[in-house]
Amino acid sequence: MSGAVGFLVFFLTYAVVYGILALGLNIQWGFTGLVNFGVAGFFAVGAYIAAFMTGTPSPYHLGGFGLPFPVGLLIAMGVSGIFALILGFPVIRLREDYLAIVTIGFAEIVRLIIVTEKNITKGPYGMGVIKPYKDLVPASYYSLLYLGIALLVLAILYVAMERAVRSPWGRALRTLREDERVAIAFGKNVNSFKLQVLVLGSMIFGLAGAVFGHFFNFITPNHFLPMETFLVWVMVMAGGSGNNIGVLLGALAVRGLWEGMMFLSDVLPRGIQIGAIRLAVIGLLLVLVVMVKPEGILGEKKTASDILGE
Amino acid sequence: MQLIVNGILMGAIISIGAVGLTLVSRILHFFYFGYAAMLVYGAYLTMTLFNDVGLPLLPSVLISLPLLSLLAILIDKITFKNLRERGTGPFGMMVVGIGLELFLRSSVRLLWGSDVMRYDLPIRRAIVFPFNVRITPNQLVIISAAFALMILLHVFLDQTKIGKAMRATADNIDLARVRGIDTERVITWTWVIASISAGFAGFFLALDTRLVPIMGWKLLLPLFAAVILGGVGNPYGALAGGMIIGISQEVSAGFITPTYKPAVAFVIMTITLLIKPSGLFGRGGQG
Repeated sequence: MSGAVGFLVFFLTYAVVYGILALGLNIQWGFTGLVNFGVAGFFAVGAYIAAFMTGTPSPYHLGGFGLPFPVGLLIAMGVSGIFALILGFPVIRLREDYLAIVTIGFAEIVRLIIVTEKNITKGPYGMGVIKPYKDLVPASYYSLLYLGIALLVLAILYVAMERAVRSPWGRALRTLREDERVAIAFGKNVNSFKLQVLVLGSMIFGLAGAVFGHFFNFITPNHFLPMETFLVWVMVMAGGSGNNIGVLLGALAVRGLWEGMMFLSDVLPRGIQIGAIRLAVIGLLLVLVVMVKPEGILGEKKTASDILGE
Repeated sequence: MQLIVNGILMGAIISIGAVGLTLVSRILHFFYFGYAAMLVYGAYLTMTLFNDVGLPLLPSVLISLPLLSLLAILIDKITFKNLRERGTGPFGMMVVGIGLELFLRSSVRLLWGSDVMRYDLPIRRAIVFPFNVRITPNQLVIISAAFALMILLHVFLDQTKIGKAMRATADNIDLARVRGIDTERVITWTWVIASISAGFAGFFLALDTRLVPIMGWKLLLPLFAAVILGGVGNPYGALAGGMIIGISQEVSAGFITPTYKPAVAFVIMTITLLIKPSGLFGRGGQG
């Protein structure tokens, strides 16, 4: 494949990974109003667990259990969910701003563990991740195949999420987002619902991590900095919290902006760091979304019955 | 012994920083992540005045503080004042604060570069105290200056009219308003105190270690832990909380891998939130 097509495939696969993350955060924040600033932590757990599961045996890190790719994905989701359960069980009843600080702290601790426990993760050196199904197609077409796999994962997830939010369960989530007291009055156990959503969303982050690792084929603790969390937040808030198509478009647009800023290096004077500019732009976006368009570009679709009217 | 002394040093730095953060959290009603960037700006402005302009160290710090205050107040006027008038909730404010943190931290990288820097000071040998405790002259300066600052802060909050108004607003903003306190003026003063607090904490941290744009973010978790442990809005609680967090972090290095120091702050903070969200000293605690 030519350079331009290759870059496009790379860009789209990356966007799909963030699309998965955005769907996960949308079920938590968008539909339930649950604050989770620890996205990067669960993303990391998923990436590393999947890498251990599908990898070939190695004395330098945990595992290499050689399991099939889909099994790796499922185990990554399961372990991320267990992490969410352990974290969430005590802290889920905290007020949202405290929950924000606790989850961000959690993600930092996960990263610290990955950096420190070199025997398990190879620490800051990073570890390789296999290319699943690489014998199916010629090497030059492999990235296209993987984009297809990633898209398939995203599509299945999208359909599942759309069904979930339209179910009675999804309605209960929106109720407790709008007013917890109403949900309580209807006999819903608010903390139990929040915990379910924390676990489900975090499993999706874990899934994204697994898809990311097998796409990048190399993971280091630096792939899971707190900035990744806020990147996903920008996607969800700008795209339209509570709208799955909105957050997917948000993921595509923000990724596009992120990659697009690379071309700034041709225009800007030498020595200006693109990394710093990227981060500054993401920061500005967060400020602008809240100040100018808190409901996001698409906003939430009305889900009430048409008979009720506006 | 050495670990405890390191702990007191770290505790002094965290305490000084936590006072400003606790007042901002309480009076502005949200947790301001951009506070980390204020620390970094304080340290770097001081560096420019000292290394490049060539002023002596103390005047460099003292001139950086009004600059930092102006920047903080300007940011408040552009962003948070609008949000306050619109009635944006604490979460929206917090997200804006995170955006500002990312933006300001990057601006430090663009203005000063990402390289590790330090103040142009001669490296002096550590003084050896009984029990083989080693303290560098810089560290002695930090500890004594931190305690002097704590006393000054106490005098300000306890004796001056605006200090009392700040404590009253931190205690109960509605009651303060009813009693005729101009809360916008209190907020302006809160930014001034926060700048002094953050500026000194940033300077101390940079003096003890090095200057890097990420230094503020790395101190943010211990700072929040100190604020929550001391009770949000309680400046004396923040001082005590800062000491407890600092000492626990450093002493923990005697038992576990030192890279896990931030985890100690995290665990203490989470336990506080679960058992007594109002902090060690009871009152306050509603952010």
